[in-house]
Amino acid sequence: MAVYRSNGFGDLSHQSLTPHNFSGKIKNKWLRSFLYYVPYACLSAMTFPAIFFATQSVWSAVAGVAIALLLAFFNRSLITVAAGACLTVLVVEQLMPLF
Amino acid sequence: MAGYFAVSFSFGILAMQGGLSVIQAALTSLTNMTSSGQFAGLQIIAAGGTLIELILTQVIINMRYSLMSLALSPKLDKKIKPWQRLLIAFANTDEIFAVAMSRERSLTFMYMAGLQILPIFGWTAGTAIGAIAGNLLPAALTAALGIALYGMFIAVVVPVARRSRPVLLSALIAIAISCVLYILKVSAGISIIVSTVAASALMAFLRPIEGGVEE
Repeated sequence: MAVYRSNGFGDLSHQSLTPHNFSGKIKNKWLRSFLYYVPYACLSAMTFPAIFFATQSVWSAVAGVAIALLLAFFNRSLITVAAGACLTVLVVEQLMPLF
Repeated sequence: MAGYFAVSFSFGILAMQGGLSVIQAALTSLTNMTSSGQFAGLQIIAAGGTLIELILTQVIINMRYSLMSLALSPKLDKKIKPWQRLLIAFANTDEIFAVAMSRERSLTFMYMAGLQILPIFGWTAGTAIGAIAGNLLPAALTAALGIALYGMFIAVVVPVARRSRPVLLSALIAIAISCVLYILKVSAGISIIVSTVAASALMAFLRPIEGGVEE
């Protein structure tokens, strides 16, 4: 197990998920880096490709993904991004029978 | 609080779609307190995966909490008993950790309990209400809500990936592996484990994180 050394308190970053930004340091650089990447890799792997099969049609999901990526790119909040994606899916699925 | 509620509400909707009952979904939230862990677990349960897959996934996803607890431990008040420490560790989340570490005084049990009770309650209630809503709302609406949690995952990863090229790369590698494994019909649990570990290990080798603030 890596040796852990606390430096008290770190910066309070709202975006980062791993401990190294907040405080304390694992001495093994590779392990520290590995743990830094895990949340992002994991969330990404869980989202894709599963998100494309989460709705009634792949096309509504594609539209939802596009809107979510766009909103997230401009740093919108968790709830805004999620609501934007849901609304897009809802609208696209209502419109689809018309085509 | 609102954030916990929204995430757990979406989890409740998905749990219902995955075939869990309201009680099962709420108990999952109460006893696990881990958004990504629970969600990965749900995917595995819904897909009829094996117990081994479930355990491995949970260990890897939740590994970071053991490190957070290690960092938190020296800041806890000396008078805190071991069972109280275990409770604090159990109810730790990314957000609670951030708040606790930013406090300059040592942390008493009452302080930590005050910090942790509302999130536990919000998390569990949100899941229950989500699962109930999933049963009551029209199918068109729940289908649209099925994308909500994924949307939140995107909202977590994209802003960081925009600032940090290595994070962007780790996400893209994980997505690529996950898509290939999906085509190869590998089960959801194995796919999440392999994609996460491979992408993180590779990026840790290629672009190790320097001490202190990244970049």
